[in-house]
Order: sequence, then structure tokens, then C-alpha cells
Amino acid sequence: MKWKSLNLVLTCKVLVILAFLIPATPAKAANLKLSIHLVWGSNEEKLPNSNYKKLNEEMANKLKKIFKWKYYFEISKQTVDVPTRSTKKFNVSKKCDIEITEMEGPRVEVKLYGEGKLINRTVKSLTKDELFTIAGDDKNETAWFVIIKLLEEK
Amino acid sequence: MITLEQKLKIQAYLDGELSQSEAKKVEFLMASDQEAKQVFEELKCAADLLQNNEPEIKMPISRELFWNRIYNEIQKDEDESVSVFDYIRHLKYLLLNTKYLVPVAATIIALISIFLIKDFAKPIEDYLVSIETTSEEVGSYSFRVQSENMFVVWIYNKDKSDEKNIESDLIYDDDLFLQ
Repeated sequence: MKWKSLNLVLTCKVLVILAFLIPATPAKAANLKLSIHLVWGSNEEKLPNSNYKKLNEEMANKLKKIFKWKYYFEISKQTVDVPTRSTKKFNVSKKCDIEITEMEGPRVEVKLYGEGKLINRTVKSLTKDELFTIAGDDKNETAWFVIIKLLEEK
Repeated sequence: MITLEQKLKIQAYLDGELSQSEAKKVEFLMASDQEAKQVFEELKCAADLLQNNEPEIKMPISRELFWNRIYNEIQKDEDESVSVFDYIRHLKYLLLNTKYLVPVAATIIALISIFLIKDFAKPIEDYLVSIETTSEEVGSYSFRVQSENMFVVWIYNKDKSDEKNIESDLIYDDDLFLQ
């Protein structure tokens, strides 16, 4: 059996050069698919409003491990799409709006509006399964939570 | 009496050099003219005779050519019978041979390093968080709870900030980075 001479050293050099030349996978521009939860935290088990329902156990347990409130109720939940490089505003409650901008890479800009007034602006990268929470306390020892979750990785 | 041109056409027909329409004309001529048919038969006979009795000249085979032929036949058989195991064996030989071991190992290490570096070399902006509270009445804290994979921006009313702080709303203190 006659083997053609194989110049391994040359092959290795070519492989290393190719590895350097291959660029890091660029983040694709794609629509953002998110879920937005508006949650109410309370120490009273009784539903504050008949329209509220108990928050799913997984999310409630996460919140319970971090915050002092014992009970968490889902006021609203929506699954939204933000087209690539664009901005969309979502009404979370009567007083609260969230504006989301899809930015380069995994980053998003989230603006929180309270009664039409811009309260907070956050720019951060979102990863799948990460919960991005904007929250604050309210009267009668309660708290509100706007929880944004990326459903599909870009 | 057929003309010379007709004879040449019959020859061309025999050699398959005529177009379909011309071939049909020649066929018609042969069917209608006995002499034309006879010319065709004669030409065909001569062609068959030449084809079947062409002398074959055999070149003398030299000793070198003879052994080359045998060697080539053996080589051909061996090339066809190369299996996956032969490749593995060859690869094993190359890898175990110290001459190749160093460059191969160096390449593998270099490739792994490059891909790891590329993974870590994501733009720094991807890890940065920018938080801006635009209202004068409210302030904000932010923190990440790694174990719960949660990033929190906590908004508080500045008027009430003297009464309590963020820590009073939290029960979690491990793995928490207040910013």
C-alpha cells in the first residue's frame, strides 16, 4: 500500500490560520420574542383583585427566594414580538407601559413608563431563561414586578 | 445508369454520413433502381471485408513493460482494497510517530485556545448594563441573583427612602451584587 506523503506540519499550520480567520459567530439580527409579566407581591394570601391569578410556581419560587413577600399574583401576561432594530411599546397595566427596543447583539433597551412619564431606562443583554425584573414597592406593604423573559435566543 | 454523384451518395449512406432526408432519397433510389442496389451491395461487401480482415500488428513486449504491467495490476488491486482500518492504522502511525506528535498536539491545543478566546472575546458591551432613572422623584438599585438567573432593577420613591432601604425588601443576601 503506497501512501502519498502527508505533510502534517503544513496541514496543522493551515488549520491554525483558518481558525484565526473564521470570525466569531456574529449575533444575527432577528425578531425578539418575549414574555412580559406584571406581578403583584403581597403578604396576604387573599387575591387583591378577582382578575388576578396565582403566579406560576416556578416564577413565584424564584421571587420568594429573593424578596420578602410570601404571595405573588399575576396581573397580566403577554407574549410579544419586537422586530429587529425597532421599538415597540406595550401596555402592561392602566398606569404602566413598557417600551422595548431591539439593539445590536443580544442587547435590548427597556423603558418603563408610569402614567405616561418615563421612569427608568435600562440597556442590557438578554439571555434565554434569564428573568429581567423591574420592580418597586407600593402601599400596604405590597410590591409590583414587571418581569421580562426572552423566549427564543436570537 | 447511375451517375458518379449517386455512387458517392451511396458510399456516404453506407458510412452513415448523410442527413435523414438525404438517406431517405438514397433508400428510395436503391429500392427503385436495381443498379443502385447492386452498387450498395458491392460497397457494403468491400467494407465488411476490410473491417473483418484488417491486419493487427503486435508490438513486441519488452521485459520492462511486462513487469510494469504486473506491478500496475497489483497496485490497482491494493488501492481498491484500502479499508477504514487501514486509514485508522495509518493515522495511528502518524500520531504515534514523534515527528508528527508535536505539531498535531500543538495544533489541537491552538485550535481549542482560539475557540475559547473567541467565545470569551464577545464585545464588552454585551456584558454592560446601563440604567438611568429619569424621574427626580425616584431612584433605583440594581442587582443580579446568579442562582436564580434574575437581574433586578428596583425602583424606590426618594421621599420614602429614609424610612427603609432595599435590603429590607430582600431576604436573599448570598450571591447578590448591589450596584
